[in-house]
Amino acid sequence: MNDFEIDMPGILQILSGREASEELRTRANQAVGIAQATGPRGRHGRHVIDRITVGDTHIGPTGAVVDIDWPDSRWHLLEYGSVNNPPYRVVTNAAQQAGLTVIDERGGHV
Amino acid sequence: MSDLLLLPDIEELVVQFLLDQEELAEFFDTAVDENGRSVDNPPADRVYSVLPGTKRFPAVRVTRFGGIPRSFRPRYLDAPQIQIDGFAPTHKLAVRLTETCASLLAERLTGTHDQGIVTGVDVGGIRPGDSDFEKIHMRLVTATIYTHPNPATGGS
Repeated sequence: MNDFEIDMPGILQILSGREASEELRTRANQAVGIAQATGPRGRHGRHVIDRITVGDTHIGPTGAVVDIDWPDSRWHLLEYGSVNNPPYRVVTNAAQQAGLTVIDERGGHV
Repeated sequence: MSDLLLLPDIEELVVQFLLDQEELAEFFDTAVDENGRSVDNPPADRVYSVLPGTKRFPAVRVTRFGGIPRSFRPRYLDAPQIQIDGFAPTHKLAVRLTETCASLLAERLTGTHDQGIVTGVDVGGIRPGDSDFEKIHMRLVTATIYTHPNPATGGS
């Protein structure tokens, strides 16, 4: 006999609600700040990491989702590495430090 | 002697583990340089935490990029996140090399190593790496490895 039943629709409703979206957006802004403060910089000062920004907030299958955008064609070289440099994981690490989970299913958006 | 407890060096642990696996040795029998040209007498143990200045491919790179300890007092159980990069002169070979590393981690890494004890491994799927600017193809896989010091060897 179950005394407790998990209300999945109710949980999803909370995760998709305004407060969840606002909390996620706050954390996304923190992550972007961390990424820009800790990411590697080129010899010439401003670098591609300055282009990391917070994107749209939308509702996904498991609740609110906040995009972190990196509109630079070289973003994947810094995030995932190449033959010439290691994976710095700028956004991944920053998001984790801010308590977020990274979703990187779409090209150019993390 | 200090009784300071050091968490395992996961890069060294995984690099040494992969170097001990015979399934990887076949990838290193022949080699090309960064421009895809064949080279003679290449080093056989091409699994690194940092790629050397003189690069020979196929090669594997292991990098810790994140993860935090799961216990803080004491600081004992670590959960490092690593990325394994497989570099090879063809797309197909890069896929096979990286998937071989992923499978080895998933099936054999759990257990006792000199560098530390691995209690669990979560391995992801193969994904493309950078191939925009280089002649060498790259595939990558990430993994979370749960590990703690090996008391028999003093940990790291």
